Amino acid sequence: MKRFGMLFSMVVVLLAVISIVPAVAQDDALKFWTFEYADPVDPFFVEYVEEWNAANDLQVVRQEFPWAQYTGEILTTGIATGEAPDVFFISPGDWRRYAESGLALPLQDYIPEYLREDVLPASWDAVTLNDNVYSLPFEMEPVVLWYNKEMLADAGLEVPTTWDELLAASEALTTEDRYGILLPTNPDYYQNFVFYPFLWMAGADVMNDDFSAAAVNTPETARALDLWGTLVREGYAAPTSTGNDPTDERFPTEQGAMFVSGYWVYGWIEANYPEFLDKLGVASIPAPDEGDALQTVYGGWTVMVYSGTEHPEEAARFAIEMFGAEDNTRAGEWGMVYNTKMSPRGSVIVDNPEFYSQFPHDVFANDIFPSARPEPSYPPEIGQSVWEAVQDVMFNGVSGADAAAAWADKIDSYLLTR
Amino acid sequence: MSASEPTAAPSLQSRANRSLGQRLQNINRDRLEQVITAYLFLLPDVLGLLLFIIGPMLLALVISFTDWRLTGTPEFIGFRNYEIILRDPKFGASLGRTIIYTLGFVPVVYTLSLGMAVLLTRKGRANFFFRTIYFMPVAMSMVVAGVIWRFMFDPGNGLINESLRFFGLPTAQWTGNVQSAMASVLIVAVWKNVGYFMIILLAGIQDIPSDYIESAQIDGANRWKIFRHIILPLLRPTSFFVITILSINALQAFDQIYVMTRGGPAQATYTLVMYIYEKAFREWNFGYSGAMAAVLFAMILVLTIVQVRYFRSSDERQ
Repeated sequence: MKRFGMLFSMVVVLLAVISIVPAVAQDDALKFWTFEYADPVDPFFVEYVEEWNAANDLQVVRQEFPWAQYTGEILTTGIATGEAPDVFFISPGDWRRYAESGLALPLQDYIPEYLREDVLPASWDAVTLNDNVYSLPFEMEPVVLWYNKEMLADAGLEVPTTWDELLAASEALTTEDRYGILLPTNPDYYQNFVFYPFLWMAGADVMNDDFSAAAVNTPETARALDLWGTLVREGYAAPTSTGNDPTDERFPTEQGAMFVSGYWVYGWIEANYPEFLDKLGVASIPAPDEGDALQTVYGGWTVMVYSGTEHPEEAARFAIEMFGAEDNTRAGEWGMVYNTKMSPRGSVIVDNPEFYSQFPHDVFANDIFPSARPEPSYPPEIGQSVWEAVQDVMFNGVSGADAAAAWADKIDSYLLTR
Repeated sequence: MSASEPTAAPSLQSRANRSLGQRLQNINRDRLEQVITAYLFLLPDVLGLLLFIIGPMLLALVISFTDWRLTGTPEFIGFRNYEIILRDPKFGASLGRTIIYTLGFVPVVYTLSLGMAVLLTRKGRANFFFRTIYFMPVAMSMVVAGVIWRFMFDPGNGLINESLRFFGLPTAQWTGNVQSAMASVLIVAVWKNVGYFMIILLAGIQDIPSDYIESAQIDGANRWKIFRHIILPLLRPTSFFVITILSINALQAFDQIYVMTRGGPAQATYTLVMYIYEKAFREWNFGYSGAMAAVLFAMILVLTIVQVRYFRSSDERQ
């Protein structure tokens, strides 16, 4: 009986050890990581990976991770533990530090000529460092002012085109159970992303041209900050987020009259709130004053190849062919069928005139996109300084001028430690 | 001593030794088997503890003495990360918020758990129902709870403000205001944890021999006196456990706050663990992050030792 007990405990131990020791066997396959996409998007990756695996000896294994963890600890721990993927999606705000840290494979030599010419120069610039492309842009999502046509009409308002009009409209549209406008309130990169067009249109920027000092301690920055501060402090903009800032349910459920968000909002509303489509209007983000140039920002994830990959040729080819194959069908379908995104490839818009003549894609292609600038990529310390300034004016009662001065100090202090 | 003596003596001696040795061997074999079996049963847990808790803790401690930014070889820098902590205003501010959170969390959860446990001690269908209801938040995912509460805290059309309006009471901005944000996350933390600690305290109360309570009742003690002079003193070991675990949980507060506010608005709910996380996974400053984690660990250890001594000394006084 004792012997049986001993034998049993040995088997238990053996099983436990087997279960906790990580598998050491390494499959000779390309690892491809993305964050989790919604179910309707998933077939895009399944089909592409199947197509690749049918045509190539080196197989691809795709893994997806929850969004919050993917952008936080997943990639970081993957790299730190030597388990980094060969090919992975990287946010436009993050690619630069991966490139600067030597984690990204330079892709310049792998990019075919037709693709070099097809992708918009601004999109290449947004992923280029020291004349080398470190990540492949495959989507563009400009930020705009979405509005509820019915609410504006009921209030006798035109779509605001200046900041004064935006403030007045937000005030007029605010009621006890409705906010005039919805802005991102969570302190994170997404808040920065939506704030940038306001900052740029005011005539300011985060850094100077040679990236040696902060450029934010100016009256223009203060004005942009004051606009956001006033909207929240006066109660015209919601002070909290009810979930995901990019897709705030309060807009299609008519608890918000205007909503500053991206191109993706259309696809999200089409899928989840189709009855709201008739009320949906879209316009450029208002400029500070009449006659000022309109400007917006566009985001969009990119594909990166890990510099430590054992198969650089195949990994680069897999990454490029996903959205950059000579036949642009897949690149077009990504934005027109699986998502609501624009392709950085000019040929996609040219080859799909019917799609880009329909609302709201026509507005994006003709009016919004020409004024769009790619999302800048800053080190995390600078990124954090942006949302801290925005949070201070929104929630701490700090004036735009004081927040801008403190913001500049934070950036300059950080630059001294680099 | 003859020449044969040495041969005869060892022979007798060896026989005696052999029988003793055999007996010892038999005893030892049994004992040895038992010991081996026990340790083998313990081994999976010990391995898990070493691999997933103690190992990473030691590794974090080692990393805290280095400058390591994800790529390249960690460079040994001695105590420099710890020196930076002393001059880092963000560390102080986030630690301050963590202490405020702890001071709000521990007494409220303990008092409510204890109160509910006392009220639900009696057996009965209604009490079973209430125990289940109070325990339900424990079974809910923190992320789901955070999202639901975010909707409920919506200043415009959230359930809480709508209810306050219905009763003609003043409304609040909840997580949208720096003054009320910490209180809002505390409300959710209390709601989420109170059921779990209620069960632990309930088990502690039910372990108290009923003779003591019955004797007190015969002597004319009312409910308050029974609670004050019998239940509370006899519940001390359980209370100590609950308060210690609550303090550790509070000092490590992260996931619920991250889901609800991301540390906002304007850093009003930005706790120390959130700062540690961001330094490591956003800024890739693993050395500094490890140093802060080590400091937090030391603080929790000291607090736990203080609590152990306090409970022991007050036990001795009693």
